[in-house]
Amino acid sequence: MRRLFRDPAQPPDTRPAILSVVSLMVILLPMLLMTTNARKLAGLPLAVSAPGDQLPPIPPGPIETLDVTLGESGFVVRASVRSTDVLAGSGDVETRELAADDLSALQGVLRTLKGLDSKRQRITLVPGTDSRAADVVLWIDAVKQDRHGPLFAEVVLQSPQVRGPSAGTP
Amino acid sequence: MKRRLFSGSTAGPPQGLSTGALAPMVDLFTLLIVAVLRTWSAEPPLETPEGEMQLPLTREETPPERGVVIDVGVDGLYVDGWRAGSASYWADAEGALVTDLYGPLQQRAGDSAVVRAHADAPWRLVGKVLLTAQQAGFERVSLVAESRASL
Repeated sequence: MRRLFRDPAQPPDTRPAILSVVSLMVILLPMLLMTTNARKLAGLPLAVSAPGDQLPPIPPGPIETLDVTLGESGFVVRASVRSTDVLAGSGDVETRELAADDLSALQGVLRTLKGLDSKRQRITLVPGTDSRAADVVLWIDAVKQDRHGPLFAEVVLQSPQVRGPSAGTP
Repeated sequence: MKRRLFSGSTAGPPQGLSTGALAPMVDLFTLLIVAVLRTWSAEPPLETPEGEMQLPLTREETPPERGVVIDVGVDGLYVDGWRAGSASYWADAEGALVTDLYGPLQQRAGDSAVVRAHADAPWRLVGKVLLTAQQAGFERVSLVAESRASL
Protein backbone atom coordinates (compact mmCIF):
# COMPACT_ATOMS: atom_id res chain seq x y z
CA MET A 1 0.00 0.00 0.00
CA ARG A 2 1.40 3.35 -0.98
CA ARG A 3 1.68 6.00 1.66
CA LEU A 4 0.25 9.37 0.91
CA PHE A 5 2.37 11.25 3.42
CA ARG A 6 6.05 10.40 3.75
CA ASP A 7 8.49 11.49 6.39
CA PRO A 8 10.70 14.37 5.27
CA ALA A 9 13.85 12.94 3.58
CA GLN A 10 17.19 13.53 5.32
CA PRO A 11 19.69 15.60 3.27
CA PRO A 12 22.64 13.57 2.01
CA ASP A 13 25.71 13.67 4.21
CA THR A 14 28.39 15.67 2.33
CA ARG A 15 31.10 15.25 4.93
CA PRO A 16 32.73 12.19 3.33
CA ALA A 17 33.11 14.05 0.04
CA ILE A 18 34.68 17.10 1.68
CA LEU A 19 36.90 14.93 3.84
CA SER A 20 38.26 13.20 0.77
CA VAL A 21 39.11 16.60 -0.78
CA VAL A 22 40.84 17.68 2.42
CA SER A 23 42.78 14.42 2.57
CA LEU A 24 43.92 14.84 -1.02
CA MET A 25 45.11 18.36 -0.35
CA VAL A 26 46.88 17.31 2.84
CA ILE A 27 48.88 14.87 0.71
CA LEU A 28 49.30 17.16 -2.31
CA LEU A 29 50.38 20.32 -0.55
CA PRO A 30 53.45 18.96 1.30
CA MET A 31 54.49 17.13 -1.87
CA LEU A 32 54.30 20.36 -3.86
CA LEU A 33 56.13 22.31 -1.18
CA MET A 34 58.89 19.71 -1.03
CA THR A 35 59.39 19.32 -4.76
CA THR A 36 59.06 22.90 -5.94
CA ASN A 37 61.62 25.62 -5.98
CA ALA A 38 60.76 28.81 -4.13
CA ARG A 39 62.91 30.89 -6.50
CA LYS A 40 61.33 31.20 -9.89
CA LEU A 41 63.86 32.24 -12.47
CA ALA A 42 63.07 34.16 -15.60
CA GLY A 43 65.07 34.76 -18.75
CA LEU A 44 65.32 38.16 -20.38
CA PRO A 45 66.28 37.70 -24.03
CA LEU A 46 68.51 40.57 -25.01
CA ALA A 47 70.36 41.96 -27.97
CA VAL A 48 73.62 43.70 -27.28
CA SER A 49 75.21 46.16 -29.62
CA ALA A 50 78.59 47.76 -29.54
CA PRO A 51 78.60 51.54 -30.01
CA GLY A 52 78.26 52.25 -33.71
CA ASP A 53 76.89 48.83 -34.60
CA GLN A 54 74.27 48.72 -37.33
CA LEU A 55 71.17 46.94 -36.13
CA PRO A 56 68.94 44.86 -38.38
CA PRO A 57 66.26 46.89 -40.12
CA ILE A 58 62.84 47.18 -38.58
CA PRO A 59 59.49 47.85 -40.24
CA PRO A 60 59.33 51.49 -41.28
CA GLY A 61 57.44 53.85 -39.02
CA PRO A 62 57.42 57.50 -38.00
CA ILE A 63 60.14 56.87 -35.38
CA GLU A 64 63.47 55.94 -36.92
CA THR A 65 65.62 55.62 -33.80
CA LEU A 66 64.71 55.49 -30.14
CA ASP A 67 67.34 55.54 -27.41
CA VAL A 68 67.11 55.90 -23.66
CA THR A 69 70.27 57.09 -21.95
CA LEU A 70 70.86 57.29 -18.24
CA GLY A 71 71.99 60.83 -17.54
CA GLU A 72 73.15 62.56 -14.40
CA SER A 73 69.69 63.80 -13.45
CA GLY A 74 67.57 61.00 -14.81
CA PHE A 75 66.79 59.54 -18.19
CA VAL A 76 67.15 61.18 -21.58
CA VAL A 77 64.99 59.83 -24.39
CA ARG A 78 66.28 60.56 -27.88
CA ALA A 79 63.88 59.88 -30.70
CA SER A 80 64.40 60.58 -34.38
CA VAL A 81 60.91 61.22 -35.69
CA ARG A 82 60.22 61.53 -39.37
CA SER A 83 58.78 64.92 -40.11
CA THR A 84 55.16 64.88 -41.12
CA ASP A 85 55.01 68.59 -41.99
CA VAL A 86 53.64 69.13 -45.50
CA LEU A 87 56.41 71.63 -46.15
CA ALA A 88 59.15 69.25 -45.03
CA GLY A 89 61.32 67.59 -47.62
CA SER A 90 61.40 63.88 -48.21
CA GLY A 91 63.34 62.07 -45.50
CA ASP A 92 63.46 64.99 -43.09
CA VAL A 93 63.98 63.72 -39.58
CA GLU A 94 63.44 65.69 -36.43
CA THR A 95 65.45 64.63 -33.39
CA ARG A 96 63.71 65.13 -30.08
CA GLU A 97 65.31 64.93 -26.67
CA LEU A 98 62.96 64.39 -23.80
CA ALA A 99 64.03 64.25 -20.18
CA ALA A 100 62.46 62.02 -17.55
CA ASP A 101 63.32 62.26 -13.89
CA ASP A 102 62.22 58.81 -12.84
CA LEU A 103 60.83 55.57 -14.19
CA SER A 104 57.20 56.67 -14.15
CA ALA A 105 58.08 59.83 -16.07
CA LEU A 106 60.09 57.71 -18.50
CA GLN A 107 57.10 55.46 -19.04
CA GLY A 108 54.96 58.52 -19.69
CA VAL A 109 57.37 59.76 -22.37
CA LEU A 110 57.57 56.31 -23.95
CA ARG A 111 53.79 55.99 -23.92
CA THR A 112 53.57 59.26 -25.87
CA LEU A 113 56.11 57.97 -28.40
CA LYS A 114 54.27 54.66 -28.61
CA GLY A 115 51.22 56.67 -29.59
CA LEU A 116 53.20 58.15 -32.49
CA ASP A 117 54.41 54.78 -33.73
CA SER A 118 52.31 52.00 -32.31
CA LYS A 119 54.03 49.28 -34.36
CA ARG A 120 57.52 50.06 -33.16
CA GLN A 121 58.89 47.37 -30.85
CA ARG A 122 62.59 48.18 -30.61
CA ILE A 123 64.22 50.45 -28.08
CA THR A 124 67.88 50.90 -27.24
CA LEU A 125 68.94 51.30 -23.63
CA VAL A 126 72.26 52.91 -22.80
CA PRO A 127 72.91 52.32 -19.11
CA GLY A 128 75.62 54.20 -17.27
CA THR A 129 78.89 52.43 -16.69
CA ASP A 130 78.25 52.49 -12.96
CA SER A 131 74.71 51.18 -13.21
CA ARG A 132 74.04 47.95 -11.37
CA ALA A 133 72.65 44.87 -13.10
CA ALA A 134 69.55 45.08 -10.88
CA ASP A 135 68.87 48.64 -12.08
CA VAL A 136 69.26 47.66 -15.73
CA VAL A 137 66.75 44.83 -15.30
CA LEU A 138 64.37 47.27 -13.62
CA TRP A 139 64.65 49.63 -16.61
CA ILE A 140 64.13 46.78 -19.04
CA ASP A 141 60.90 45.92 -17.24
CA ALA A 142 59.86 49.58 -17.29
CA VAL A 143 60.37 50.08 -21.03
CA LYS A 144 58.64 46.82 -21.90
CA GLN A 145 55.37 47.50 -20.17
CA ASP A 146 53.60 50.16 -18.18
CA ARG A 147 50.24 50.10 -16.45
CA HIS A 148 48.44 50.86 -19.71
CA GLY A 149 49.90 47.91 -21.57
CA PRO A 150 52.93 46.82 -23.56
CA LEU A 151 55.44 49.42 -24.72
CA PHE A 152 58.58 48.29 -26.52
CA ALA A 153 59.18 44.57 -26.31
CA GLU A 154 62.50 44.36 -28.14
CA VAL A 155 65.21 45.80 -25.94
CA VAL A 156 68.70 46.39 -27.28
CA LEU A 157 71.33 47.11 -24.69
CA GLN A 158 74.28 49.14 -25.77
CA SER A 159 77.50 47.80 -24.41
CA PRO A 160 79.66 50.16 -22.39
CA GLN A 161 81.95 52.54 -24.17
CA VAL A 162 85.55 51.54 -24.43
CA ARG A 163 87.48 53.18 -21.64
CA GLY A 164 91.08 54.13 -21.42
CA PRO A 165 93.65 51.77 -19.95
CA SER A 166 93.05 51.67 -16.23
CA ALA A 167 93.06 47.99 -15.59
CA GLY A 168 94.83 46.24 -12.80
CA THR A 169 95.97 42.67 -12.92
CA PRO A 170 93.71 39.67 -12.74
CA MET B 1 17.55 18.09 38.27
CA LYS B 2 18.32 14.61 37.16
CA ARG B 3 21.16 14.13 34.73
CA ARG B 4 20.76 11.55 32.05
CA LEU B 5 23.70 9.23 31.55
CA PHE B 6 22.52 7.72 28.30
CA SER B 7 20.81 10.12 26.06
CA GLY B 8 18.80 8.88 23.15
CA SER B 9 19.44 9.65 19.57
CA THR B 10 19.47 13.39 18.99
CA ALA B 11 17.43 14.79 16.21
CA GLY B 12 19.59 17.96 15.93
CA PRO B 13 22.65 18.53 13.76
CA PRO B 14 25.58 16.10 14.09
CA GLN B 15 28.16 17.19 16.64
CA GLY B 16 31.92 17.39 15.92
CA LEU B 17 32.91 17.30 12.28
CA SER B 18 30.45 19.46 10.43
CA THR B 19 30.39 20.70 6.86
CA GLY B 20 30.59 24.28 8.06
CA ALA B 21 33.85 23.57 9.87
CA LEU B 22 35.44 21.86 6.88
CA ALA B 23 34.60 24.50 4.30
CA PRO B 24 37.19 27.10 5.48
CA MET B 25 39.83 24.39 5.54
CA VAL B 26 39.09 23.46 1.94
CA ASP B 27 39.21 27.15 0.99
CA LEU B 28 42.56 27.57 2.71
CA PHE B 29 44.05 24.52 1.02
CA THR B 30 42.76 25.66 -2.34
CA LEU B 31 44.37 29.08 -1.89
CA LEU B 32 47.65 27.49 -0.79
CA ILE B 33 47.74 25.12 -3.74
CA VAL B 34 46.97 27.93 -6.19
CA ALA B 35 49.73 30.04 -4.63
CA VAL B 36 52.22 27.18 -4.83
CA LEU B 37 51.27 26.35 -8.42
CA ARG B 38 51.52 30.04 -9.34
CA THR B 39 55.11 30.16 -8.16
CA TRP B 40 55.94 26.64 -9.17
CA SER B 41 59.22 26.18 -10.92
CA ALA B 42 60.55 22.99 -12.41
CA GLU B 43 64.06 24.40 -12.37
CA PRO B 44 66.46 22.84 -9.91
CA PRO B 45 67.62 25.07 -7.06
CA LEU B 46 70.04 27.74 -8.22
CA GLU B 47 73.62 26.70 -7.66
CA THR B 48 76.27 29.25 -8.37
CA PRO B 49 80.04 28.92 -8.13
CA GLU B 50 80.25 31.64 -5.48
CA GLY B 51 77.54 30.23 -3.27
CA GLU B 52 74.52 32.39 -2.64
CA MET B 53 74.08 34.83 -5.49
CA GLN B 54 71.49 37.57 -5.39
CA LEU B 55 69.93 37.86 -8.82
CA PRO B 56 68.12 40.96 -10.12
CA LEU B 57 64.34 40.98 -9.77
CA THR B 58 62.08 41.12 -12.78
CA ARG B 59 58.40 41.08 -13.68
CA GLU B 60 59.06 38.55 -16.42
CA GLU B 61 58.00 34.97 -15.84
CA THR B 62 59.31 33.25 -18.97
CA PRO B 63 61.72 30.53 -17.83
CA PRO B 64 65.29 30.92 -19.02
CA GLU B 65 66.51 28.91 -21.98
CA ARG B 66 68.96 26.12 -21.60
CA GLY B 67 72.44 26.81 -22.79
CA VAL B 68 75.93 27.70 -21.72
CA VAL B 69 75.79 29.32 -18.29
CA ILE B 70 77.96 32.35 -17.66
CA ASP B 71 78.09 33.57 -14.07
CA VAL B 72 79.12 37.10 -13.22
CA GLY B 73 79.81 37.00 -9.53
CA VAL B 74 81.25 39.44 -7.07
CA ASP B 75 84.67 37.86 -7.31
CA GLY B 76 84.95 36.13 -10.66
CA LEU B 77 83.55 35.17 -14.03
CA TYR B 78 82.59 31.57 -14.64
CA VAL B 79 81.63 29.48 -17.66
CA ASP B 80 79.55 26.42 -16.79
CA GLY B 81 80.86 26.64 -13.25
CA TRP B 82 84.55 26.92 -14.16
CA ARG B 83 86.34 30.10 -13.24
CA ALA B 84 87.48 31.99 -16.30
CA GLY B 85 88.59 35.36 -15.00
CA SER B 86 88.48 38.05 -12.37
CA ALA B 87 85.38 40.23 -12.13
CA SER B 88 87.14 43.27 -10.74
CA TYR B 89 89.86 43.15 -13.39
CA TRP B 90 87.49 42.89 -16.32
CA ALA B 91 85.17 45.51 -14.90
CA ASP B 92 87.91 48.09 -15.24
CA ALA B 93 89.79 46.65 -18.18
CA GLU B 94 89.89 48.48 -21.47
CA GLY B 95 88.18 46.98 -24.46
CA ALA B 96 84.64 45.81 -24.91
CA LEU B 97 85.40 42.08 -24.99
CA VAL B 98 86.36 39.81 -22.11
CA THR B 99 89.03 37.70 -23.71
CA ASP B 100 89.19 35.34 -20.74
CA LEU B 101 85.62 34.34 -21.53
CA TYR B 102 85.92 34.45 -25.30
CA GLY B 103 88.11 31.34 -25.58
CA PRO B 104 86.07 29.05 -23.30
CA LEU B 105 82.85 30.23 -24.92
CA GLN B 106 84.12 29.44 -28.40
CA GLN B 107 84.82 25.90 -27.28
CA ARG B 108 81.21 25.40 -26.25
CA ALA B 109 78.68 24.16 -28.73
CA GLY B 110 75.22 25.60 -29.10
CA ASP B 111 73.74 28.93 -29.92
CA SER B 112 72.19 29.88 -26.59
CA ALA B 113 73.90 31.41 -23.59
CA VAL B 114 72.41 32.55 -20.31
CA VAL B 115 74.13 35.13 -18.14
CA ARG B 116 73.52 35.04 -14.40
CA ALA B 117 74.78 38.28 -12.98
CA HIS B 118 74.84 39.33 -9.36
CA ALA B 119 72.36 42.12 -8.71
CA ASP B 120 75.17 44.47 -7.69
CA ALA B 121 77.45 43.63 -10.61
CA PRO B 122 78.35 46.78 -12.53
CA TRP B 123 76.84 47.17 -15.97
CA ARG B 124 80.26 47.95 -17.45
CA LEU B 125 81.13 44.34 -16.68
CA VAL B 126 77.79 42.68 -17.45
CA GLY B 127 77.57 44.51 -20.76
CA LYS B 128 81.01 43.30 -21.75
CA VAL B 129 80.09 39.73 -20.84
CA LEU B 130 76.89 39.90 -22.91
CA LEU B 131 78.75 41.34 -25.86
CA THR B 132 81.50 38.73 -25.54
CA ALA B 133 78.94 35.92 -25.59
CA GLN B 134 77.36 37.38 -28.68
CA GLN B 135 80.71 37.81 -30.40
CA ALA B 136 81.66 34.22 -29.50
CA GLY B 137 78.86 32.98 -31.71
CA PHE B 138 75.90 32.67 -29.39
CA GLU B 139 72.90 33.99 -31.25
CA ARG B 140 70.53 33.92 -28.31
CA VAL B 141 71.84 35.58 -25.19
CA SER B 142 69.60 36.13 -22.21
CA LEU B 143 70.00 37.57 -18.76
CA VAL B 144 68.66 35.49 -15.89
CA ALA B 145 66.73 37.25 -13.18
CA GLU B 146 64.53 36.19 -10.32
CA SER B 147 60.84 36.56 -11.00
CA ARG B 148 58.85 38.68 -8.61
CA ALA B 149 56.33 35.83 -8.55
CA SER B 150 58.76 33.81 -6.44
CA LEU B 151 57.60 32.82 -2.99
